[in-house]
Amino acid sequence: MQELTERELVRGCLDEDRRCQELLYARYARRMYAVCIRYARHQLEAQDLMQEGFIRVFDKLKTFRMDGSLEGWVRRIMVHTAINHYRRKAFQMERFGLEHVPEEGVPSTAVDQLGEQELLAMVSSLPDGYRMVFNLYAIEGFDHAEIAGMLGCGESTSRSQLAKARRMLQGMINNTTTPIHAGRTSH
Amino acid sequence: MREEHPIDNHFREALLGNEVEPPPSVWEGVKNGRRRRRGLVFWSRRRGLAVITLFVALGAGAYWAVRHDRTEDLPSVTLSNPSTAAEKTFPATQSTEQRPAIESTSEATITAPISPPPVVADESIAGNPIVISKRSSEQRPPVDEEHNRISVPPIAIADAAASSGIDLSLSTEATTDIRTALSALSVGPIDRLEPLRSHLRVQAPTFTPETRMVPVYVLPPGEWWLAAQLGWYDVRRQWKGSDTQLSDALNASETWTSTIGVGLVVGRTWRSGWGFSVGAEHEQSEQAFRYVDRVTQVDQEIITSIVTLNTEVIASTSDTVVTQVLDERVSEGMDRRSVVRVPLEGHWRASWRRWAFGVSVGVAGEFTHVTSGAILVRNEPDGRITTAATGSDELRARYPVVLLGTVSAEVGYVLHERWNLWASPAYMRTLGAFEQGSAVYSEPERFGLRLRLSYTFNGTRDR
Repeated sequence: MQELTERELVRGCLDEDRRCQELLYARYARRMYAVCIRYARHQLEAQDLMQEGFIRVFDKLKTFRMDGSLEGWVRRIMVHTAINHYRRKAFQMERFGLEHVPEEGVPSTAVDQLGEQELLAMVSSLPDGYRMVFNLYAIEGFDHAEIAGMLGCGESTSRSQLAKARRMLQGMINNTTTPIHAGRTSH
Repeated sequence: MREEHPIDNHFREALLGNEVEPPPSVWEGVKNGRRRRRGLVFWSRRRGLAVITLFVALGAGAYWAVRHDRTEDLPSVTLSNPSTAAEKTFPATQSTEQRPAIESTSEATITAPISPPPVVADESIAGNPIVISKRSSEQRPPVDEEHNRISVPPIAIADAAASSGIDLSLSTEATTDIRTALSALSVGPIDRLEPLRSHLRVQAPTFTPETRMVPVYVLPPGEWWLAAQLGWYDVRRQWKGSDTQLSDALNASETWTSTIGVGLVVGRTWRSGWGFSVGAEHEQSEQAFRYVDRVTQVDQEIITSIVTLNTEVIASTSDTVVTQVLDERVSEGMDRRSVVRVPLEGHWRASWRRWAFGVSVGVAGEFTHVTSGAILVRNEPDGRITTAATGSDELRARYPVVLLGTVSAEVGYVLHERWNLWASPAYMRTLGAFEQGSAVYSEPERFGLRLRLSYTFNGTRDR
């Protein structure tokens, strides 16, 4: 079964072959879950996105035209599932007072010290709007016009959200190398 | 033009191709979700068709019942006419139950209605000069209004039969039939039937005072009925329990949700108007919720400045900088539930013409099953409110079996003798919850409108 091509896999899934469905899921689950984590605020939300995304994958599989990469197609569905999820929430682009955060260069050594998990955690901790725009622009490679169309906002909003996301990430990276001496109490 | 930023490259290189192992529950969720979606698609596609089919079936049943009531138990006798080869059956006469009819397979129908008959087949037999049953309203037999009976002119029948050579001899079955017919008749002077005796070979029934009495029908003492029910409800749950913060959060996320319930109800209504009903109703609902958990974080920082000259402290200041950060965490999800309700209600009804009015009061046991989705929980590490999948027993225990109190007004319309359509605005509220196995539990409250199409079975009639 491991040697099945994408075409055979798709046909098996369309025939409701349970083994093919499991194989398709197993083949892409790890990469897609990483995508979902980037778009989600926390693990539970990522699992919801993953579940909803794969249900859509199996439902829409008959529309896959076999002329492109199946992984790319599944990935697009995952991204659009995340976008739809946040559009349903009618999230608003956050207006955090980040203007005071100076735009400074990030030392490459500081980034190199960070592992994937730390970087992933930083992206996940971004506010919803920042996270969506940063993921779509910086990692998926969409431009602002496409992002504006997908999120239902203006291009200028997309640009400003991206800029603020970058500043916030810079701040996080810098903080990881700067010990915090302030005491903290929560109420 | 696409602007590139160094930080974009860092993150893209680190995250674009990375892999994370998802928990096994995700695949289980995918499988369950697909199965449920197929069920929903099946249900949504066929729901309209199912409702239409149900009402068409009920309508057909009502029509059949109407037709059956009109034609059943009509006593009849068959006359044969050897001169006429073809057989012809006349349609049934009007629908009065007590109206017997004598049908001739040769051509004609002889009717002997008790009440003044507006009827009858005006029919001339082709090729046969005899008109047995030709009887217009002007030719109706005399009606004894006082005793509500008529006299059948049998002599005319016998004469006509004799002159035309019609063989009026009857089979054994026909004899039985005509006895039944005659016994059902409230025929006046029995001796008038005598001329028929030789032709029909029927012993004229012995009429006693009891058989001469016109049957008096009264309402049955009680009737059973069966109803199909369709209800539209607005549901809201009140959360209670020992964890007040969580129950407050759950209450804050609750909204009125619309559901549709279908069910079957059986009941009995006595002549006095009092009655009871019991049944089962199923409804499936899904509710989107949203909760914003706000926490204010206060950061305090003490800044001390000391001015020294050589080893002497010249001046020192200490400042406390307090920073407050309002942290909002939005939790959203979809909560899907399946509810089965078993109502037991008492009612009182009164009727006016084709309308009926009433009230009903009762209780209902409600069993809730959480099918899927998410619900608010307390996050153990930081104590804040977040969402979790509704898979654990603890979360399912948040929906205990509850006892509802129900009250409704009833307005009915009699579609037919046995078919009624009822509309009932209803209100249900939780009286108590059982098996509270969780720190928080829900108590539903429900407004709605119930539609019932009921069929009344034969009651026991007093005579």
